[in-house]
Amino acid sequence: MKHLSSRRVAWLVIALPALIVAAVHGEAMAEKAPTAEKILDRFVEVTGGMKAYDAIENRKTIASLSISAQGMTFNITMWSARPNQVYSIIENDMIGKMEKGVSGDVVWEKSIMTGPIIKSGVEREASLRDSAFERYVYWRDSFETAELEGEAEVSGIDCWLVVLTPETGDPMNMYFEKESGLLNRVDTVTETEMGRIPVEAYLTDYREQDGIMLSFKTIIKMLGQERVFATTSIEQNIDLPDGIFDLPDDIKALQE
Amino acid sequence: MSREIKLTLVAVIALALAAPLIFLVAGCGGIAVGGSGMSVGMSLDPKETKTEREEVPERDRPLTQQQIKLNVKSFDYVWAKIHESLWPEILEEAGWDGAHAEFRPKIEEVATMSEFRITMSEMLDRLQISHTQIIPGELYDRNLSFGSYGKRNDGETGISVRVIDGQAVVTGVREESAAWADGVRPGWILESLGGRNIEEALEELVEVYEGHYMKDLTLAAVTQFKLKGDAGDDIETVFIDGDDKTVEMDLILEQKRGNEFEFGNLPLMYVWIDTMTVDGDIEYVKFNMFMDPVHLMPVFERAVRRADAGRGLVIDMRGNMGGMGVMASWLAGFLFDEKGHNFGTFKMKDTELTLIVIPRPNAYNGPVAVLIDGLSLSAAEFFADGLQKTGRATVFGQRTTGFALPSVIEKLPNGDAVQYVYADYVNSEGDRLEGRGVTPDFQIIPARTQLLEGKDPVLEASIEWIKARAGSMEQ
Repeated sequence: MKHLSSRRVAWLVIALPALIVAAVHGEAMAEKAPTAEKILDRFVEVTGGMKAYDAIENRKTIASLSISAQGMTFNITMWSARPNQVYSIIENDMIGKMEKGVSGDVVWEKSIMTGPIIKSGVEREASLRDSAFERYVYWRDSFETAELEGEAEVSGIDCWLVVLTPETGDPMNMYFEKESGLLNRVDTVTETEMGRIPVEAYLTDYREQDGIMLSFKTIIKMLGQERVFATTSIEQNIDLPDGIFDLPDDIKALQE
Repeated sequence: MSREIKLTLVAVIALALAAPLIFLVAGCGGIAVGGSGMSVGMSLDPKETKTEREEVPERDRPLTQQQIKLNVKSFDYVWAKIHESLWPEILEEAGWDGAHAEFRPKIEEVATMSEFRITMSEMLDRLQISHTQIIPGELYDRNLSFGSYGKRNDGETGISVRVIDGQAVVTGVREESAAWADGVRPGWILESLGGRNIEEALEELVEVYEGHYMKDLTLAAVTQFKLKGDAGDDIETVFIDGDDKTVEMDLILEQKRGNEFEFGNLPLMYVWIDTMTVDGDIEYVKFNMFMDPVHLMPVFERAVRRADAGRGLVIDMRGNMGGMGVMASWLAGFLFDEKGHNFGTFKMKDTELTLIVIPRPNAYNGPVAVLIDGLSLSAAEFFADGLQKTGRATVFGQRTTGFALPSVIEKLPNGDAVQYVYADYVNSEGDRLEGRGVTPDFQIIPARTQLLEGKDPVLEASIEWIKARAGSMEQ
């Protein structure tokens, strides 16, 4: 019979109680904690329920994006519709007008700065994923897995941390408030042709709109600066302007 | 985070790299060009002496307790922001941790805003990097004219000056300017400005800046940036003309030309772009800043389209003070017909962003010459270096300063603003431009005699190169 060295004995004396405590605690957590699925489903429920979401076919959002550190504000108008159609105008006096759209599997952008571009590579893929209508609500269609990672406190609020992993692209850390069930924070990576940018977004100011609760103010932390996305108005199930999601002529010309 | 936000962020991400601007203010009792060892206690301004002022300017009045509190708050913010943004080697070398304990008591003791700014500049100077400075709050008041640095800065003489062989030599005079009408010509030597002998002032600076990478910029800045002020004012000058005779004249400051442009937390700027055809069919384009894309880019595009019908394109970056860093790649899009090129990388603590070139439809693919000098700064350096390293352009003139770091400008609680660096920048070959600059393919230093003959040897060399290229292409 082998004898345990005194160092190994010491390690077991210290480690075993800790392992036992962790196991017991884990058991308790497992009993107490809901599954990721339940947390996500509850989010859908507390923000209006699937029936209310199913009734939304399209949306027009008017908002602003402010980067106070740089003293810049952009005005945004965005039209979106099922399944993943998007057309947005981003403008201010300094940079003029930028247009961006997702139409079918074409992701495009045009502005005085860059001219017309059809996006490709990682930025196209990311835009196609992000343009899916109510991606977090219909998360079963958009993500491969949803796992409960644990608990976390966000701005003094107890949250469940759920990790949603899409088929391609980076996982997203979603923090749902334990008490209200609302989504409080999202950590993700924004992929562009220029590079990958870690982003933290804090969703606040939930308001009811046509039977669903939407965040009207999101604080975004990225590149060492804070940005505020503030929604001014949301209209849903509107008569969309004719051809709003059609490709502009100069984008069509690029396709040729 | 909603679809609306994610898609918007992607669209405006490039603008995160928008403002690595050099903004030069003559302040703190002398020239303060960033926190880069440039806060020289030397004035060339005739109005600097207090006896000539009608009243003590705001910046020299005793501070109230409230202002002192705000100054301390601003100090803490600046120190922390730089601590958070810069990479450890620079902070360590500057003794940044110790700087807080050393300078905070000084900030608590300063009696005026001028003293606050001098003390802050002293601290920022330790970083020895560009794009790091305090911008006086007065510069944001468009209606206020004040002291030597706080001018509305809406006036200029139309004269370009560079230091050649220790003398401030006029290298260009805009033909529409009053200075031209008064007879000032390239090749003249600016002997004194506001009663102060320039050569002596330059000698003082040479002593201080010998061996410093920003020596050339500092020398040029002393004269070039003192030839500005409030429109309508005049500046007492003494020149040596082409016959080596002394010419005294009061130069009138005329309204600055260009579009008024405000960008984020930067004070008002004037942005212009000139184009012309030289030597029959070579297109020439020059602009003063990488700013105001809405107006500048279409003019640039038209010049490039015209170049398509001629033998080549000359882009004159001499004296271009930079601006939106990302605009360097936007403009370059007109000169590349295929994807896959980049100019460099912004290296932040948590990520890296590449300055990619997005080709425009029907891009110009003829010969391109870029002209640079010691006052081609920041985004102008990204642009010249990027075109050179990708083999898209040949560069003529003098080495740039190496004033090339991306920065942002934030307002401070006391009303001033701070410009600080948030990333390092390396070019496509992995080399830093900061402190190194862009070395031209053909170094050409204009001689005074050439300027007096009405020649621009840098431009002429670029034209000859384009003609030779066009000739060889025809063959």
